[in-house]
Amino acid sequence: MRFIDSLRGGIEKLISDKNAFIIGEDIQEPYGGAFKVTKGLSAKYPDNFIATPMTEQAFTGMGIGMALEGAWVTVEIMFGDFITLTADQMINHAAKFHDMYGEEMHFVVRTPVGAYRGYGATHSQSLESIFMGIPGMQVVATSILYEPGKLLTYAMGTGVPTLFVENKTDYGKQLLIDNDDFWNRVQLSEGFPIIRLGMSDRKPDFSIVTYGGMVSIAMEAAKQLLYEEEIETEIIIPSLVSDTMHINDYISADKVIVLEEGVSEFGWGAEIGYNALSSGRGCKRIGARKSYIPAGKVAEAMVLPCVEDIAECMIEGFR
Amino acid sequence: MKDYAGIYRECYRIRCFEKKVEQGFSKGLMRGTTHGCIGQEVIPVIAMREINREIDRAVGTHRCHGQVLAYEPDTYRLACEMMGKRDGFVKGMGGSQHIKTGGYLTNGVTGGMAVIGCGMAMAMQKKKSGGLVLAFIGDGGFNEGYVQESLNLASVYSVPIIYICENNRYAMSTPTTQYSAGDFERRVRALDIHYIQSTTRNVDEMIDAFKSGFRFVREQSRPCFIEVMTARLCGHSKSDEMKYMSEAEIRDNQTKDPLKWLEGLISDTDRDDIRTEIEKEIDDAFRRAEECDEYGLERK
Ligand SMILES: Cc1ncc(C[n+]2csc(CCOP(=O)(O)OP(=O)(O)O)c2C)c(N)n1
Ligand SMILES: [Mg+2]
Repeated sequence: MRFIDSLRGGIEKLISDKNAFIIGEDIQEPYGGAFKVTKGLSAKYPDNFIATPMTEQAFTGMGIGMALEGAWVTVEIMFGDFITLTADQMINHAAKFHDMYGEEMHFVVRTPVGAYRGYGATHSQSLESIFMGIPGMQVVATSILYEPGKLLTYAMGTGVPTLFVENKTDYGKQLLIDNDDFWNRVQLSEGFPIIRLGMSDRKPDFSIVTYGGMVSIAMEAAKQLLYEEEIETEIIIPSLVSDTMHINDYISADKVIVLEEGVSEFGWGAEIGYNALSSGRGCKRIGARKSYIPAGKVAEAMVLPCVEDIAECMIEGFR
Repeated sequence: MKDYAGIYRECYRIRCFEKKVEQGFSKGLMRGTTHGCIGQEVIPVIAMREINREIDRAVGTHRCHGQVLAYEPDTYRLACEMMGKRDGFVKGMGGSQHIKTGGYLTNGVTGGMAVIGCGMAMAMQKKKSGGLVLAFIGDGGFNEGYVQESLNLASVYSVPIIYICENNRYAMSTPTTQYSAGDFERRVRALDIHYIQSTTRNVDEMIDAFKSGFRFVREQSRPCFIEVMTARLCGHSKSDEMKYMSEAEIRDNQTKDPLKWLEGLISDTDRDDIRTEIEKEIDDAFRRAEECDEYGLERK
């Protein structure tokens, strides 16, 4: 199954099971969303689709207001870069209503994040770490290792306001939800899944902790290093990325590499790294350089994490 | 014949409460800040008389004590909230401007609740509940993108929401007349929203204006915007010396105090009875609130 089909299926299930409302720009027919996630659905469920003018902070708030009235609501923000416009509603409204007023809210903001496609500075970022430290809300990241549709319906069910990030490069990919001839895929936790990709039963040399679109890069690097350097790696992929407290319990190697697509400095990796280092493991982090994301192909690649960064880190980084 | 005595009682309760809060701050009973609504009490009082607590909702502003007490006249619980005590509406965790009770809630970001209100109204439209949303905003808040975007959405989706803009001519020290282009009426009407203007200097007309606004929203399922010209007879917040208002303006506002006008419409005995009753109520509320305990974070 393709990533996008699972996601669309999850949205349809929310509509048919929970009468959920889908809010966003250009989500309706004939367009079906900038990345076509909702393609076909608005014709089938016209009452559940609320197409909007470009007013992100207002329609995010409108979704929150509906959720306060008991509706199940997902808001689509066309590009993850624009979650800055939802920040006040998420941080100062939804999160406070949940945490301070005790409101259960079935409310998710979905958005495509990520680069590697030449979209440039304001259409490529992974800004979700801005929201990860906010109490009263959660940040959930999809990957090709778990059905995004199932993840979405689960996140909606928690009653916690959620930022749900999907990686643009994942939409068209096939999901890897069974073992393939190389990887041994294990789901380590119930609820919000933590997935482990392993190579064998032996203790690996390295654990790569990562999420979202970085999974593909981590997998490629791990394979390459096995063949070229006989280095064994496990990859740990959490989905509730705003909860970094427990991830350390699932790491089996002594050397940990945290890999994220967002800017490394002040990023998610610092949290994972802190816990890893506190438990006596070695840890290095890899993420985007502290730069805007250029549109030009060569420069973009220089800013973003890549397979070579991981290889270099494994071979040189822990000396 | 309108219920002037009842309106006066509610307004006087809010006024006494706000005065007591001012004292509470000087005595150190309260922390943080507070936004008094002295002079504007009549707006929430009359608006809340039009709502149906079963099906309607109300969203407020930072200047919310009057809104809260007009919705739920429990001075003890509001006093507790202000003092951070466990019997407060939010168990003392919200404080002066973060309050939720029943179908009323507010928050401390100006304008932010206007879009929340729009969503609640959208939910009502979808549920066909027949309810409406009462959304308070300020004249300063009117220029927040939030309010402008909310007005557009409300009109586009035709949701049952009534905006009540308490135009006291200032956002903190900033005079709205100097910092707001055009006028609210034209800006609202340009979005095909039914606009009504009213003033706290004529409570009688204000009551009629509110009635017609609520009737419009209920019958048409369309948004309505009521701009109420008013004046705040106290500082913006606890430490404001009001240096930005001229002596003449302050004096003029005082002489047009809507409570004085209401007092002229009821008998002296009614007025005195109400005052005695309310003053005792407020004293009791604050005394009991002082005795109430605080929570730590174990409330969860
Ligand atoms: C987004 C935001 N900006 C600034 C403030 C600080 N602040 C609180 S009230 C206020 C003025 C509000 O003016 P208005 O909307 O006219 O309401 P009023 O205080 O007159 O009742 C300001 C600047 C805030 N709470 N939220
Ligand atoms: Mg004002």
